[in-house]
Amino acid sequence: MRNTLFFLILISLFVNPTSGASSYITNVEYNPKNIEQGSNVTITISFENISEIKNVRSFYCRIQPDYLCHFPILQLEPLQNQYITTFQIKENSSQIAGFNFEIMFNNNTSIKYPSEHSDNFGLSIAEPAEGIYYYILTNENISSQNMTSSLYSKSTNTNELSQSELYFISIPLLMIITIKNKEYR
Amino acid sequence: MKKLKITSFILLFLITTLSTISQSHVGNTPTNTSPQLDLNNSNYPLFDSDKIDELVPIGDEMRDFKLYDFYGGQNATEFNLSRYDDKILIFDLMASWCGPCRDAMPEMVRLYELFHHTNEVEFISIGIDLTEPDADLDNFHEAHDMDWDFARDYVGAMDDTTLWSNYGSGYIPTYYITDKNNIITRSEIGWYGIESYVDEIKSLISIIDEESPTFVSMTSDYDYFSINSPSLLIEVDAQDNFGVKSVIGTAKYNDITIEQEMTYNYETKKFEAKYKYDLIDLYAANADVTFTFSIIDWYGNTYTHTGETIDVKFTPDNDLPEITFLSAKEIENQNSLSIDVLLSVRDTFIQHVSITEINETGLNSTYLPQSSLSGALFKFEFQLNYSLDTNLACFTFLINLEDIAGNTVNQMFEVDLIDPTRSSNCEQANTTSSEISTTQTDSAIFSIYTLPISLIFVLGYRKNYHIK
Repeated sequence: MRNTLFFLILISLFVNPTSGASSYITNVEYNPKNIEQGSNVTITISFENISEIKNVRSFYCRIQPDYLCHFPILQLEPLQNQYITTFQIKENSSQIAGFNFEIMFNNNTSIKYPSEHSDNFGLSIAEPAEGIYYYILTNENISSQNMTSSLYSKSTNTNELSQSELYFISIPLLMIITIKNKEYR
Repeated sequence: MKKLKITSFILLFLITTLSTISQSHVGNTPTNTSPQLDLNNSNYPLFDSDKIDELVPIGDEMRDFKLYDFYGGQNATEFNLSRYDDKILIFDLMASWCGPCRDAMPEMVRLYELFHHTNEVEFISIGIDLTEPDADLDNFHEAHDMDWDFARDYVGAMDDTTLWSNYGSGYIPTYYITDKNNIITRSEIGWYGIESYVDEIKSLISIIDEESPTFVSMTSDYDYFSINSPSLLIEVDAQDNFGVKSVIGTAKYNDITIEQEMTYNYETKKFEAKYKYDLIDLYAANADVTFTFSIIDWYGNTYTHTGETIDVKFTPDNDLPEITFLSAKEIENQNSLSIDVLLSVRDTFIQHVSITEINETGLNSTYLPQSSLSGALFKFEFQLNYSLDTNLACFTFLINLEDIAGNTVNQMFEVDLIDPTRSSNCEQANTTSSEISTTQTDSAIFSIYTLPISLIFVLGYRKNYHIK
């Protein structure tokens, strides 16, 4: 019994309190990667489980130049454990487009992607307005060279554990094990 | 005991897995397993491109609509275009999730404050996304002090359709301006700055402003000048019956004049500017700084205010001088070799410098006063002179710096006498940087490997205990 309790406490240490709903998403991608004006692009958002999701909306905007958003918005359709939409690219080769999306859950809570701390899934992120982030629909012919440097943020993977998180996990763990050993003596 | 073993195994597995994740630093890019979409299948919505760039043209009469005040709840007041009879109307089609709509709001608020008091200009913002939660619109409205009419679109707002389907363009934000006869004088996608809107409205209203703006107050915000705050923030409050367009501030001290256009702060609704000074010069002069402000309103009326003075009292800070070794180069003299050492010192003002030779080999060193200074950063140059027959490979010296606040730093440096441009023969010269990197590496190794190793040790110890 004591060992079981010990095990449960330890497991609870591994739960990242900030993960929350973000763990639902396993991948975000768009295809094709090489985007041109007029081409149809498919956004695919993959989830572990979509049973708790009411709907997913995506917002497609022109980020640069002339920051504008397209309307109507893109309603994503469920397909197995994914939400998918296809739309036509309006931006020409000198313009940068991006998208973000909002997941609405059955309990009427919602979450927006990407955010400052969310996983970028290998995609590049732009923040043209403070606190509003977009996955950049990269035209590989242009590359990020045309993008204003302040707009462009390098893709990072926030799945990786920071050093402080490792300490957060490891220190209480070591303490508990040490105490347990003393008890056995 | 068996449970303990299982628990230990699971723990080790988890820790190892987590450590592996932390080490990988690889983007999470799983293989593409997306089902292939049939693009011809109408179940998947393709973006509607038909409406793009289809704004209702200038010169058309705005058609009537029927909207409800957003905050009316069940008893929301119904209103239509007649609410704006004999008014100039700024018509804003927006959504709360729309970044550019949000970006435009501070300037829209400023525009509203400029003209609403004339009783000739009205604003209306309309949320055009029918799927948008009321709470999102509410939050947006609250966040931006939108003190004008606010409504949301719906099917039936304009005949049997939405307002967007008649006036939308495929992009937001979309703006229209109508004159007092409901004729569209401007239709535009995107917000391109307040100035063109001011000009448009000025051409439509009957009032002409001939009054000059006035100066209200000036405030300065600084505790002291130091390497961390080498500038003086000046804030000016100015008034005008139609609002102040710009303020140009001129600061004068000694023979120095700095003129710059001040920035409008949308939160404080005041104009502000940062003036940077040469700190040492200012300290030496104990100067007063005198300001002149040229205030211009949106109609071009100007008022010049003079006589604002700040007695800049230089208060020494507690920041330690920071010394950086920049370079060393060999200089050949007739009877000896000299090495020219260049250091960079960052501080408010250095009042004392001393150099101590650690080697005590009889080398002569003479230091020259600082050769250049700029703000809080200045370069410090001196020469080491030594005879040709010395066998010394490295020359070690101690720099002692004291700033005007009495903050003192002692820092040791080494110069490679064989080749001053490199430092490989002087191990100590690299000590600082290598220590830092070693610390980081050790720390990372600890976080990744120490934990599992410790666990194995502890659990192994425990197992031995039970065996005994």
